[in-house]
Amino acid sequence: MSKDNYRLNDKLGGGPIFLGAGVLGAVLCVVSFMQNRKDFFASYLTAFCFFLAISTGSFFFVFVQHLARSAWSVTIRRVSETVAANLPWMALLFIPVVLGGKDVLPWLDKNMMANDALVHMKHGYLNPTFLYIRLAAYFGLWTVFSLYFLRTSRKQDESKDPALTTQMGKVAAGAAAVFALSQTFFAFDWIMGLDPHWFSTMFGVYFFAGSVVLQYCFLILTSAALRRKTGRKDIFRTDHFHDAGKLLFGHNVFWTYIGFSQFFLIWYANMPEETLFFQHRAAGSWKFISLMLPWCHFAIPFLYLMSWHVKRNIVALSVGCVWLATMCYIDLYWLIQPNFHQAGAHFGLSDIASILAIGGFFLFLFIRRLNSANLIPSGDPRLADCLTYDNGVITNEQH
Amino acid sequence: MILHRDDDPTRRPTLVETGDFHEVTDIITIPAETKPTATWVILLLMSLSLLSVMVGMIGYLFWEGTGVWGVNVPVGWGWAIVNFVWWIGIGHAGTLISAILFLFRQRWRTAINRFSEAMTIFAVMCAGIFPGIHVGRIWVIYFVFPIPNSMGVWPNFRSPLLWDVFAVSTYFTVSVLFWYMGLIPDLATFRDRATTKVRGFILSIFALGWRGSARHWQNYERAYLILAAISTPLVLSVHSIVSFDFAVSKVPGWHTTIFPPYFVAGAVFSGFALVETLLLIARQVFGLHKVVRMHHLDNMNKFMLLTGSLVGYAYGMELFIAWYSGNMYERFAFYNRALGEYWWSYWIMVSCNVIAPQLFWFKKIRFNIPIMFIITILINIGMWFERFVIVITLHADFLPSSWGYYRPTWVDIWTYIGTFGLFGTFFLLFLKYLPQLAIAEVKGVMPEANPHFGDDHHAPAGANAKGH
Repeated sequence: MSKDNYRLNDKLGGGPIFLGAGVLGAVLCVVSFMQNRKDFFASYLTAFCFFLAISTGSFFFVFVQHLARSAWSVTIRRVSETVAANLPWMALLFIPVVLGGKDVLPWLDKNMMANDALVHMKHGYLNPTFLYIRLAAYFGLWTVFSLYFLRTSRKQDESKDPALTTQMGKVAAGAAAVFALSQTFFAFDWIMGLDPHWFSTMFGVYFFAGSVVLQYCFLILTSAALRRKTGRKDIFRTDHFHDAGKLLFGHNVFWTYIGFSQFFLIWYANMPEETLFFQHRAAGSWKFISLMLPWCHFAIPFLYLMSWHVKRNIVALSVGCVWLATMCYIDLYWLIQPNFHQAGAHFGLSDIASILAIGGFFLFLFIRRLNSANLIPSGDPRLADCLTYDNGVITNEQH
Repeated sequence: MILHRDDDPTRRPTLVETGDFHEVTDIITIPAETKPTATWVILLLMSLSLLSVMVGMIGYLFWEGTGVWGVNVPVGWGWAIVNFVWWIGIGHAGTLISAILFLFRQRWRTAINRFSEAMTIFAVMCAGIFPGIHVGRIWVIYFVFPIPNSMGVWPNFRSPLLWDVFAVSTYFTVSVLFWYMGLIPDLATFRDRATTKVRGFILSIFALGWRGSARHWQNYERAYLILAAISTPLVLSVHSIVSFDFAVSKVPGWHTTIFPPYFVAGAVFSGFALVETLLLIARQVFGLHKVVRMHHLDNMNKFMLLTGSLVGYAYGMELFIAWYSGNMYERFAFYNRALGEYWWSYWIMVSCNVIAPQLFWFKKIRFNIPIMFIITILINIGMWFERFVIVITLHADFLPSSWGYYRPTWVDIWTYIGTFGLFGTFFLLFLKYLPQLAIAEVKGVMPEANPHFGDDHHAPAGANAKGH
């Protein structure tokens, strides 16, 4: 077996289609912005947070693999490294939100800053200067770390230098600390901050839990596409899908645990300044989404993903991932949009436009970059283990 | 030299420093088959003395009532709840190591799982004492269970204290089952090596007729996986519910949504610390160096670094949100914790729980036994103070006229010290009479256990241990 056996020449298709979708979405975004600014910003922020969560979740996945010195994930790690490296582009896509100013974050309104007692008390944190400094810091740090992991890993494709793996293991520790704080405060600033009166210590963890679920959905779906495209079942092994499926299942339970704890403690103590959050989400059609999430984000996927027959069947697992990714979008929609549309959910042109615009560019940039180098980290010293590892399942499947 | 060996990323650590199955059996069984050493007897006598102190203190408490403790208005929950949460937290590493690390196929766990499971059970026993004796009217303790009675009195199902009863007793039951099931093959090993009839007879009862057939093993593996899956949610649920004891209230500093995962992280943190403290001693006393290797200690230290940082994250979030909420009571509670009358306990907590484990960033420290021993002890002190800091928030409640300074009495202190006697007694008996490490599982992670061992075509040396 020559080592070039792991240099994959296939390319993932669909780039031009996604670019087209992005351009179309951008045009529709302009239209929806002209129609109703509030609708546009609500939708745009929701779609942005959805794709941002894919990237930050993938960033999390990458550094955790290095910290745990894991070998099982080597071949599928390139997908996560690449999509995490979309983070610098995400900074550009965030510009419309920043330009939205007080149409996005109500406390940026001078009137509110001066007259709202609570916002006034928080002035040390909730002030525009500090907000933009923080924002620059989040994206700056994410850019540095995500590009580091992608570039180093690609460099290793050529050099096969095991020292780079050791080095990435060390950088991963710093990345973990940076990630924990930056993602938490991003969620505080741009999601929790949409209602500057409300607060929850759990909020950062909740956003994190959702982003990891989303990340696994993306990883599994993309790996499934790569397996189909390359036909390399020895590289994108059924065991990979099985294990990623287990982790998806586990993290989805974690999301539920965090969501339940947050809800339960607020409900039980029944203090007005906290229950307001759920009060807003019990109005009109928001109530339907509030009641749907525990069933559709937790109970159904929980039962569905429990069986290893599902996790080892790539089509069945992909169906589960599409379902859960949709639920993650609805979850973000439910977090963000009640701040803009108090009366009830209304999914419309602006939502479709934002998903097309951000999603189209996001996936186009991802595919272009993925195709520009080898599809797997073929220089990783743990590759041999990854190709042969045994996750303990005895089956009669033919590989 | 141990340092720098793992700079090779493909290196799979040797989990057992011998290639001989018989030697592994000997290392683990001989302490149980030989006469107790003088050290062990002295330690047991010391533990028994402390145990009798505990029994005496509890007897005195029952006789006199809870007035012999320092609890009063406004601090109605004193050391008893602190000790309860501390012990129950310690009991968390057991299930984490047994169940969660098993599901993650972390094969290094085999060297420490038995040990921490046993520790879990004894720690939960110590924990269970405190709420039990705290009720005041001990003769109606059965009220904590929903038992139909002629008075028509039922516990309040909406109270987290009742959920505690269910959570802790479920946790205890499942932990005992898990522990015992893992013991069965090893008890059979003990039985087969027994030299006296009595010993052989007793062990044969507890080994449940284990013969080590393929079918036995198949059932065993299946049951182990199912139990692991069942107990995994328990790791999270027990301490989440303990955190509810505080967090469902409206007390500033207690009611915060991050409490459940924060308590779980803290529990795993302190559990790992105590497992390591005890393991370092047992490793030295019983000469377990070939099975409990530096690699295991290194991994445990990393776990403490991780969970300690998570705890630090939670402290940070609490502080930040207390300020961000704009709620003056919330702000005061945290200001008072850090700079009020009990400032010293807050800073002991922060230095032991957040700062001390940060030393584990350095590989030299992760591989230095005396320093890690000290850090594990600091962590357990810090985790005790964490609960103390939380409970003591009560000393400045909503009614400034009732503010007071809480002090424990000598009964509080000796009851707590006495629980170490209970823990120590059981733990020493376990160390002496039961397999301290899972013999069969340790053998299972040795390269020699691979069917292809020595078959160069299939398994080049070092590529055997594939679970990670």
